[in-house]
Amino acid sequence: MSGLIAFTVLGLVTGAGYAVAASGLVLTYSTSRVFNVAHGAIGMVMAFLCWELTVQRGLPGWLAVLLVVGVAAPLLGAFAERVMMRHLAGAPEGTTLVVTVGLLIMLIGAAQAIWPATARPVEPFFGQRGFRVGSAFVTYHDLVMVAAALVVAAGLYSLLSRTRIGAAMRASVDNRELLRLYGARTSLVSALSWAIGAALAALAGILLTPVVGLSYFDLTLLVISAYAAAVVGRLRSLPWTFVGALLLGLAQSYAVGYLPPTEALSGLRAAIPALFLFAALLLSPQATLRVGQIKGIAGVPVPPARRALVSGVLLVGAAAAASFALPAAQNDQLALGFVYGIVMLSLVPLTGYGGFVSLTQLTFVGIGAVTVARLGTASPLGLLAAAAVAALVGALVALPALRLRGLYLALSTLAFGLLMDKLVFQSSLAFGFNGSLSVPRLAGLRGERAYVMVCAAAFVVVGLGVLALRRSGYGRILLAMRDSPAGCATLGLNMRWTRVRLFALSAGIAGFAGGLLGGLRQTVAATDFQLMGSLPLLLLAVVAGVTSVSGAALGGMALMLLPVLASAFPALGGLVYLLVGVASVGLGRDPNGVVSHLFKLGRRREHWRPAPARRPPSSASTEATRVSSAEAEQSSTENNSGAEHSGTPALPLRGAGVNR
Amino acid sequence: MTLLEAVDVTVRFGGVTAVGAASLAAAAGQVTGLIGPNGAGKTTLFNVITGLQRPTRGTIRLAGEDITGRATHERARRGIARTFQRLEAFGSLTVRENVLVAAEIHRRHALRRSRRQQAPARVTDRLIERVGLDAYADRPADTVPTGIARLLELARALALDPRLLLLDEPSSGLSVAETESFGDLLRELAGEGRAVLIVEHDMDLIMRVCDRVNVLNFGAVIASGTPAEVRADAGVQAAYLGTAA
Repeated sequence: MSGLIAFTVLGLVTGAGYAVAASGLVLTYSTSRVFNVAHGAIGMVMAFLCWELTVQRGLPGWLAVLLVVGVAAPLLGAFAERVMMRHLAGAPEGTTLVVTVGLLIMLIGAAQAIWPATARPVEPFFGQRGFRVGSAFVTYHDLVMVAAALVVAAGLYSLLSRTRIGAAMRASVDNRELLRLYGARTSLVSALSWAIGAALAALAGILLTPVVGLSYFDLTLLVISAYAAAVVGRLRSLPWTFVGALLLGLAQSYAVGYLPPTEALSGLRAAIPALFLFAALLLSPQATLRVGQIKGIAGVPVPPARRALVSGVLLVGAAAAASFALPAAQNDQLALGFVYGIVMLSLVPLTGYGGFVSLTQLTFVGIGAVTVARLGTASPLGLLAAAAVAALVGALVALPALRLRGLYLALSTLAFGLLMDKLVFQSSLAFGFNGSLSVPRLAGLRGERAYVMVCAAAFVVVGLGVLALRRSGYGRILLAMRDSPAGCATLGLNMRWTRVRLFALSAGIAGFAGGLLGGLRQTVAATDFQLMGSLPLLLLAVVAGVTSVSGAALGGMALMLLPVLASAFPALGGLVYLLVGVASVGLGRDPNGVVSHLFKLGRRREHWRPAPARRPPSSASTEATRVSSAEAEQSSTENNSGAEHSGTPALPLRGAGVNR
Repeated sequence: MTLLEAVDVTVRFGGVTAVGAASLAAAAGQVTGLIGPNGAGKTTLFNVITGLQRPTRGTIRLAGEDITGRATHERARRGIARTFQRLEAFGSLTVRENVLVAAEIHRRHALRRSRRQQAPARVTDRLIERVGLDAYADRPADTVPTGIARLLELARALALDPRLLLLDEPSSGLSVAETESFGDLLRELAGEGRAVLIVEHDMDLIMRVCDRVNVLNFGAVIASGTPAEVRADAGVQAAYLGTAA
C-alpha cells in the first residue's frame, strides 16, 4: 500500500513535468501547424545552459532558471521561428518535420560542441529535502514540478481565452490569411507561440533533468513523451494533453514499480512512452479527410528507362574503377556509401513520392542485419529474408497510425525506433544486452573490391526498381495520394492499405540494405542502428534530394563522407552540423533538394518555354500550342464572346451554335 | 428513377448549423441543380453525400441502399464521383496521368462495371478528347488554368463511369463559350443515364440544362421544382434579392 502511494506520487510528479513539455508542443503545433521534433532538444540545450549558469558560473538557481526560461529559451524559439519556420506555413507536413529534424541535429551538435561529454550530476532544487505525505516522501523539487504544471495550465488558459493575442493564436490555426486581413500580426502571433513553446520546453527540461539525467539524447527524446501525452489531446486540446501527461507519468511509475526487474525489461522505463503512444493511437478516433490542403511538389523529371539503365551501368563501372584506385580500407567506405544510398532509396517511394516521413529508417536496417546474422547464411536468400522481415515489421508499425494523418504516422516511427532501441535490440532476440552479432558475407566474394561491386550493383538494381515503380500505376497512386488524399478517396481508393504497403516496401528496402551492411561490417551492434542515427540520415536524404535516385546516391555518399571529414578535420566539428542545419532551412523553399538544382542547371534552357496562353485544341491537337497570333485573333472575333476571353472554348463544340 | 436520396440531412459544426434537415433527390437521366447563396451549405451537402463529412443526422441512399455509414472510397466504388469547388487535382501528375490514375483505380476496385470494360489508357484517351483537354494532356496539373483544372476533375470523375456525378461549381473559370459547350456535355451525360447533381452560380447555365432545381438557403431546402417554377418562387427571389420573405 505504501508502495502504491509512493509510486503514485512519483508518477504524478513526472507526469507534471511531461505536462509542461507537452503543453508547449501543443501550443506551437496548433498555432503554427509545424510539429517541432526539436522540442525536446530545445529543452536539452536549455537544461545544459542552466547547468552552466549554476554549476560553472555560480549563479543562484532561481536566477539561472529565470534567465534560461524567461530570456534564452524564448529568444531561441523566436529565432528558430523567424529563420526556419516562417516560410513553412502551408508547406507539406513532411517538409516541416524534416526542417525541425534539422533544428534538432543542429542543437545536439551545438550542445556536444559547447559541453563535451562528461558526467554532470545535477542536484534537484533544494537537494533531497522534502516532507512526508502519509507514507510517501515528497521532495520540494517534486512540489516545484507540480506547481510549475499548475502555473503553466493556468497561464495558458488565461492567455488563450482572456487576451487578444491569445484569441489571435487560436484563430491563426484556422486561417492565417483571413486573420491578416483582420489586421492581426500573424508573424508576431507565430513568433510568440514559438517563444512560449521553447520556454515551456526549457522549463520541462530543467525540471526533469534530475529524473532523466543531463544527457544529450535522453532529454531530446523527451519529445516522444510529450507527443504521447499530446496525442491524448489529439494535438489540440490542452486539458486532455494534461490528462495524457499524468496518465503517462503514472503508467511509467507503476511499470517500474511493479514489473519484475529482469534484464530483458531493463529498458522498459524508457520504452513506456512509446507503448503508451501506440495504445493512444489505437484508441484515437478516425481522422476525417481534409479538403483543400496545400500541395504540389514539382517532382524531378523521371528519366526514361533506357537512360536510367545506361546511367546504372556507368555507375557500376565507375565504382569498379574507383575500387581499384583506392586502398582496401577505403573500399569499405565506398561500399558503405552505396549501402547508405540504398537506405536512402528506401525513402524515395515513402517520402519522395508518398510524402510520408519515417524518422527511424536505421531501425529497419538493423532488423535486416539481425535477420541475416540470426540466419547465419551467406546465401543471397539471406538478403531477401532480411527484406521480408523488415517489411513485415514496417507494416506492423504503420498499422496503429493507419486511420490517422501522415503526421501521426511519422511520429509513431519515432516512438517505434525508441522501442526497438530500448527493448528489442537490447534483448536476447537481437543483439543481447550491450552485445554484438557477427554477420556472414555473401558466399563466393573475395576481397573488398568484389563487395564494392555487389553493393554498387545492388544500388543500381534497387534504383531501377524504384524508377519502374514511379512509372507504374502504383507510383501514380502514391503521388496522387500525396497531392490530394480527399481526391483519392472520391476515386474509390482505400488509402489505408496503400499506406501499409508503402511502409512495408520502404522498410523492406531498408532491411535489404541492412543485410548488405551486416556483411560489410561483419560485426554489428545495437549502437549501429540507433534512432538518433536515423535523423541525420533522413535529413541528408531530403537535403540531397529524396524525390530522385540520383539524390539517394548523392545522399548516401554524403552520409558516408561526413564522419570521415569530421575526423580528418576536427576543427570542422560543429561546422558540419551547422551546414546541415543551414541546408535544412533551404528545404522550406525547395523540397526537392540539392539534386534538383543540379538538374535545373543542366536543363534550364531545355525547359524554358513561354507561358502558354489558353489555346483552342484544334483537330490536329499537336499544333494547338503553336497557333499563330493571326489565327488566335480570328477565332476571337468569330467567337465574339466578350472582351476578356480571346480563345475558343476548350470543350469541343458539338454543333451548338452560339445564339443569344 | 430516383438514384440518390438525401433525407433530413443535418450537419452542425459546434453551434453552427451548416445544413438543417435538408432533403433532396437526384434521378438517373436528369440534371439536378442545387443553387443558393454563398454559405447556404451546398458544398457541405456534397461532402455528406460523398462521405467526406459525417452528418449529425440524416440518411443517404443510393439506388435504395443506405450508404450513410460507408466510407468515401466505398461510395466511389458504388458509382458516386465528384469534382471539387476548391480544386483537388493531383498537382504533380500530368493532366493525362490524373485521368489515368482514376481509370486504373476504377478498373481495380469498382464494384459495378460496365460489361465491356476498356483498358485504362483507352478510357483516358477517350475522356481527354471528349472533355477537350488534348492541348494540356502532358502538362503538370498544377500549371494549368483553373478552368482547365475543373475540366480535368470532370474527366477524372468520368473515368469512374459514375452513376451519380456531383459537380461543384464546374463552370467558374470557363469562358462564356466554354460554358455553353459545357452545358451540352452535361445534357449528354444525363442522356447516358447518369444522375448529374450540380452546384452552380451561373443561373443561365442552371436554367438551360437542369431538369429540376433545388434551392438551399441557410442550410434548408426552400424550394424545388422545374427551373421555371423555381424562378417564379417568391421565397427564392427573397433569398437571392434579400427582401423580407
